[in-house]
Amino acid sequence: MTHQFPSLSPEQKKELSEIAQKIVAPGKGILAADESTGTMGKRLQKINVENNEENRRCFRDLLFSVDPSIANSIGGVIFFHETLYQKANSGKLFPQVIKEKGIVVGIKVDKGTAGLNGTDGETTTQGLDGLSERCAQYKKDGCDFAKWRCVLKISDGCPSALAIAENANVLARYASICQQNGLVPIVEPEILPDGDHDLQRCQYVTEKVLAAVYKALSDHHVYLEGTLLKPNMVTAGHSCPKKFTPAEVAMATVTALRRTVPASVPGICFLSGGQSEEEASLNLNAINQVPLLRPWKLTFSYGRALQASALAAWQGKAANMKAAQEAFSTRAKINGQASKGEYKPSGTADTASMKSLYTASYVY
Amino acid sequence: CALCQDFHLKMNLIRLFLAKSANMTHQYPALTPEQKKELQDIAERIVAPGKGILAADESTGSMAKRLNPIGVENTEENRRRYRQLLFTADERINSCIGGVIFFHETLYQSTDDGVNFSKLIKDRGIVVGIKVDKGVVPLAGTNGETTTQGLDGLSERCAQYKKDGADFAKWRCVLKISDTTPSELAIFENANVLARYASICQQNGIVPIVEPEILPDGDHDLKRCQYVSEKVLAAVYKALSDHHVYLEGTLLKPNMVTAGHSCPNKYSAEEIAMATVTALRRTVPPAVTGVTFLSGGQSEEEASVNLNAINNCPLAKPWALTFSYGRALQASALNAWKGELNNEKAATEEFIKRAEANGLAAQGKYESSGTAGAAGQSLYVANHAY
Repeated sequence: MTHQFPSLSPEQKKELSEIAQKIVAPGKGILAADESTGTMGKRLQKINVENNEENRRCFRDLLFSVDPSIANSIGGVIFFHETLYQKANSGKLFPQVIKEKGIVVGIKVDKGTAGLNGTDGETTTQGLDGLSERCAQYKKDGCDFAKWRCVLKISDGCPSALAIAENANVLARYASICQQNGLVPIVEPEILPDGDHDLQRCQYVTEKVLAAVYKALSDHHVYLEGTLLKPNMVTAGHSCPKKFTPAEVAMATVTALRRTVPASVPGICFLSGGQSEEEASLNLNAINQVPLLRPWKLTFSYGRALQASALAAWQGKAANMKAAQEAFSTRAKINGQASKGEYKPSGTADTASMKSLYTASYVY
Repeated sequence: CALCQDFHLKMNLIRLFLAKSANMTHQYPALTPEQKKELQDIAERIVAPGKGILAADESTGSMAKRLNPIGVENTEENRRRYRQLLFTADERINSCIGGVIFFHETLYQSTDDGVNFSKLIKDRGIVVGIKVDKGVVPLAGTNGETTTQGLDGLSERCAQYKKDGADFAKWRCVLKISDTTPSELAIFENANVLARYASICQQNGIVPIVEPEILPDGDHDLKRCQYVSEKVLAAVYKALSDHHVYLEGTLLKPNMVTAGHSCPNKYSAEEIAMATVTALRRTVPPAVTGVTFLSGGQSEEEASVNLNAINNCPLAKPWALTFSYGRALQASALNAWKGELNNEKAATEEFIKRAEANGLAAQGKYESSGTAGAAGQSLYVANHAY
């Protein structure tokens, strides 16, 4: 631990840092369009659309060919491997379409979860084999950032020390490899919202998980200024009898992040988990209004929370394309505003009265 | 009865087993909301804008090193007289000194008029702190590395210090840079002992100042110090998290990131500032209320100029960045005093001058007037230990 063997040159660092800043430029967030084939199946089944390659291409085309003004709210798009090599109706490769809008292209690089033996159904994530070569190729094919999702869950005995340590370590290995290949790693240690635990429990677990993540990143010599974090917001479990307001969610979330995420991390892009589109926007907005110092950008990396209405409007029919694009653009715009704390849904309280909701029933 | 005892024993073993296997999953809150609020308020008061800390906690042995060069005998009375001229400085220091760190002996000494020093400081709105560690001890099997002792009975000592007026404490760990150090063991062990100390302090209403000092001895360059500082601080904050320490109720007392004293390269204040702030931004969570730098072997002027540059560094700095200076606040005062009663006023003036300079530096508003006089002389002492 005594001597530094620099993993990145100053030029490499500069490039990574600039990419990260570009993705989370003020008012912008990420469209997570990296649903695997299996996951797309779940989305399409809901609107009775067959899960084939053309339909997947068609839907992504719908999203990617909206008006270029989308770039005011979207700084990056995460792709699934298949989609990276598909084309728009215009004949252009999708990465090119996105890049021409001034949006950064990203790629999901993990290969899904794998069981951790001897645990209560906990997992790690695989995908490290040949990752360096894959990253190099993705960089050539237009990508500038990557994403890797680890999953933890809260229960009586979870997350275990092993799950926390192992997932933190694999995230750090992935991040290190990405940076060697000019890709900004989005580090995603998702703690699932499943369960009946309360807000406080989620905050506690989130703090432990994130502390482990940043220790691992330090141990693996990862350049923090060239990374992004994609965490869960701190929320109660889905089956928790007690309900919490966006202000409470926001305070718990920002407190947890302030205790664990170094200021050198340029941006934190929340996952939406199982939140509805509106919920995800309201919570992000409240997060950006918390009266505590927040030295990183706090924005979105939403999948379902950006696409649900669009999918529902589309129904797989070409005639509905414009309506679907409208729905997507609307959510993108709203979340862009939320990332600045400027989202004003009609009929809700203004900022001043929102502040009164921060009086805590417990000290965070 | 015997059966019941056996049952309870078994139940306790089962509970213990379950508790161990569910180790990281449930919170057993270490502090109540009221305790947290008190700790955070204390920390914020110490590092209020424009304020820093006077480290007047030199042990008896360290005071010898201060008093010998000015020809003063290291007696209890001389130590009392010397601290008196610092603590009786006029109201000008109230706006630049947020806290004073005491040595145990001093906490129970009084002014000529019989006013207890702790009460004197507290009554003028300055927070009283106390050094609680018991010095370094070697880590066997390492290249001369150390950990710090003082955990035994620490909780009881803290409780007593709190009664006697102290609201914060300080504990110094020491690491050094060489070809083979700091070792993983030294980093881990010192981080762990700092976290234990911090946890115990908070239980007793005392804000812990966490001090993982990396000595400036050596010929390493700025980059090396930055690298080591980042590794050490990452370990410190992981340990604090593991020990459930409430970060908002702590302060950090690190070294600035500088080249080693024998490094042929010289660096500007701006370079030092950038390296320092970068290292902190990569490791110190925003929830930490303040960072109060140690001055190490820097001269009074150097320490002020560097702190000023740190506060002017154009990167977002989410914590207060201020001073916790010993030598860099007292060198000129000691030189002016030389143990003479007639020199006391002049000595106090020298202290006030440095306090005001550093108060400005903590806001990035200090304008250096050159390095003449004692203020410019390097205060470096090789392989410094208090």
